Amino acid sequence: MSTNVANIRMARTLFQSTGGRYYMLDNAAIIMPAISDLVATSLFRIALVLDEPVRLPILQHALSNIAPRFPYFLVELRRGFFWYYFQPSRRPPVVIADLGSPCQGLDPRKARSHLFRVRARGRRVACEFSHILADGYGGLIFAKTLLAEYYRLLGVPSEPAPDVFTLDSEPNPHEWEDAYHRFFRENWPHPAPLPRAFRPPGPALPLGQYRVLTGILDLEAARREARARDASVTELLTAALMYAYQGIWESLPAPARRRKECMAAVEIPVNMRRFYPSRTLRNFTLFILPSVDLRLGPYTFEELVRIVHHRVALQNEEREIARQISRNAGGGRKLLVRLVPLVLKNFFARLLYDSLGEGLITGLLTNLGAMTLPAPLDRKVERFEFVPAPSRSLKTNAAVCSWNGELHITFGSRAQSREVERRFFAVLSSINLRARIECDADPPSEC
Amino acid sequence: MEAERLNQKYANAARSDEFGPWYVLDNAAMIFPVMSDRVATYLFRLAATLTEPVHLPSLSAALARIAPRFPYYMVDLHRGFFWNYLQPLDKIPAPVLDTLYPVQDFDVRKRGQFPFRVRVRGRRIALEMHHALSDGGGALIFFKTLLAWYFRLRGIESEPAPDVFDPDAPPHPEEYEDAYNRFFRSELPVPESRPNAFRISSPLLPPYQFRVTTGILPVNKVKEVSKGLGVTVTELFCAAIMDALQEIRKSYPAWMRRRSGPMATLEVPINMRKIYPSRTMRNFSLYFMPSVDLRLGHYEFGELAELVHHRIKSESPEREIPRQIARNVGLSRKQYVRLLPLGVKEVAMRAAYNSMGKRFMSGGVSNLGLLTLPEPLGSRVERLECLMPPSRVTCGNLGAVTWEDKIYANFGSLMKSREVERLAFKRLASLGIPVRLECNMEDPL
Repeated sequence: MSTNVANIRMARTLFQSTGGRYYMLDNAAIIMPAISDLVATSLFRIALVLDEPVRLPILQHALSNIAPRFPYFLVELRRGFFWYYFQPSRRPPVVIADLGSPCQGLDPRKARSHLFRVRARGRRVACEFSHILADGYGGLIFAKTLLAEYYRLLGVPSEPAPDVFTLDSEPNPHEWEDAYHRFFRENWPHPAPLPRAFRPPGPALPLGQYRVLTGILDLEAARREARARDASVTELLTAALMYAYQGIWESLPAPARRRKECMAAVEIPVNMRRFYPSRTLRNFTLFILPSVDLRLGPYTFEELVRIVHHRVALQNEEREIARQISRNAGGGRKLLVRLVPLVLKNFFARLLYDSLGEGLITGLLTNLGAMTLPAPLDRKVERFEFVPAPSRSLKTNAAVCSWNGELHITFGSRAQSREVERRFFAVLSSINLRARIECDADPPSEC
Repeated sequence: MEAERLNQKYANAARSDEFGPWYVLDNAAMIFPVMSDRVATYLFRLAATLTEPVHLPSLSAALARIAPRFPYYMVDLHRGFFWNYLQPLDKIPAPVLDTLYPVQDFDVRKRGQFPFRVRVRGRRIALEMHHALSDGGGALIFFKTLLAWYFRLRGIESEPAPDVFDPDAPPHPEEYEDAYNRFFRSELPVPESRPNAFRISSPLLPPYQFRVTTGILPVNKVKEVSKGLGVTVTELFCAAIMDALQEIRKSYPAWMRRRSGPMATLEVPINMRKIYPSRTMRNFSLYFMPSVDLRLGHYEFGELAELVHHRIKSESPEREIPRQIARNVGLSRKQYVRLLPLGVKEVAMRAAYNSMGKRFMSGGVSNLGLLTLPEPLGSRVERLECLMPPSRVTCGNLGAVTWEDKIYANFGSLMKSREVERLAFKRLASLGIPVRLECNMEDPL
């Protein structure tokens, strides 16, 4: 019982002080300002391509209309003595042009502005959210609400849907709760230590560049291929990504392969709202990390699919993932940790993030699944695009979603080399999943 | 090339010097003489119950007849300066009386005694073999050959079969090779270390008493249930034992739970002859180690079965399991290990095994699967059974054999507590499998 009371207390993020209201960062976000900068901006992107050019004044109007419904997003990041915190912003959100590389050009630590931005160009509306503010679930609700309001202003009202907020409703306090703390379990074991992961070597793109490459597959064909191997589409794609890493690893000279970092580990974010009843729009995502030891290879692709399938099944359980909450939220509750000044916290956060987070991961693959929109908006949107947040050490990451019978696999990459993407789509085409490749740098082509 | 030459050199277990021929123990066997005593004997057992009483003279004659075909078993254990070794023993093996307590009261280090014994009583013939000599794969061939010759001397000819040896054929040199050394790959990484396993705490039975609890299950029903759960029969048994361990752990007070490890880890031997082409009659098995973390709340039985299934299937035998060879053989080939005198090695092995080997396991499941005998012997044998070696620390050691339409699942235990057996069979029964129980001690479950 005492845990319950403590959990509810810790899950509160909105506080009132003499200087006004402020929000605490959620448990996953507290580490992010320390590891974000102009390169790893922590921005992820949800873009919608409409069937006609965006009308900018209407979009701006819609954004202004929906802003009050999301007070917890209209904030700026500030440094306190012990923690970072969010302070409500007086600036109204503004639609900006979608020029240059996506997810770039915003240093969340220094920006005296919102940690999200709405961009538009041609037929595309893009919402870029900092992970400090929300995860994909929260960002998607915001984007859908914006779209619904935009079309309402254009005279196309849409049917109500649970993930499209109505503007006359009051924000529910649960929407900004820190769900990690709410569902914290005392005395739950921590995750077992994991070996460090292999990283494809190679130089990075110049500052400010982030290459987005999208492969479009037939969803039904992908499902069929996955089912034929007793796996899910996510598992199939994860195995393909591992196969790509394996190819790069095998092509390295022997001394480089003798290094200790030899796991091909793909991080798959898991929406924890699946396991716990939370309505939060802040972060509530944790990870599973299927991996294979590349020293035991070379594996065939079919073998990798099988291994990934079983390893995902072992990890994709509430009780296993709850170990991460136990470690992350438990650490944040320690008095000793809380009393350390922010400067020191940032230093340790960077160390921990490397040894417990990114150091264990070769790449990230996030699958947001099938997108839905209330009628009649579904006919107005030609495609959904997700771009994963850029990261300093994981140069190439992938985000997957499906819409209108198509599977979109978007790689966001800071690496000059396109080996990961090339090998990934090559192995898919070897099982007759030929992708249509689009890259912002190239004209469309077949792979 | 060099590595292959070395592997061949080390795999050759038959040596000869001015005192005559001798055999090196295989890589897995090296530790067993060190760890065994008269209670934890490291004997495992195969037993056949015939349809009529055993005719002792015929059995003696059959054993004597087949003995020359298995020269690598007709040995006794000797202490060398650096290693234990096996030296041919110029004796003819003879059957001995089977007692109430199998696989007990045997000292492998005694000179002039074979590291195996054939026991007989009533309608039952049993082979008890020390693990220093071979594993189930080798013993089974020896046992089947013995049965075939026993029946032949009783006037029942059987068809030739690949796993029944012809006593007149010369032994193939591959039969006594050390296959671990032959298939050693130095480039493989050693296995990850594992967290400690949960153990039940129970006083032991009086010395030389060994409780065997046999569950007799109809194979169709077991297959049907395991198919319904999407797992194999071995995985089903593993889950039943893990479920029992989970229940027992739950009944313990918090301080006892903290004292023991958190994992229910079972050792599931895998016959490596299926993966690597070896005809060895020495040890050549390694282990799957499915485990679940018992601290993470209550698992439903279906969940346990699924977890065991995924755990076993995610470790591909061709890739993960040979890492165990890389560790075991790699260590034994180290110059500094080889140069240690046997006494020092023994101390080190005991320490290492107590801190690592045993610590990982809560129990084991050895499922030999469906056994067959060449026709017409099948109809002369009522049942076949196997028994895992006794252990003082682990409970829930299950040896299972499918014979005709029944599975004979034998739990052997040195502990007074019958909880693991009781709960595991209760769980199987609750899944709708009719379980008939037998026990060699009174007061069955």
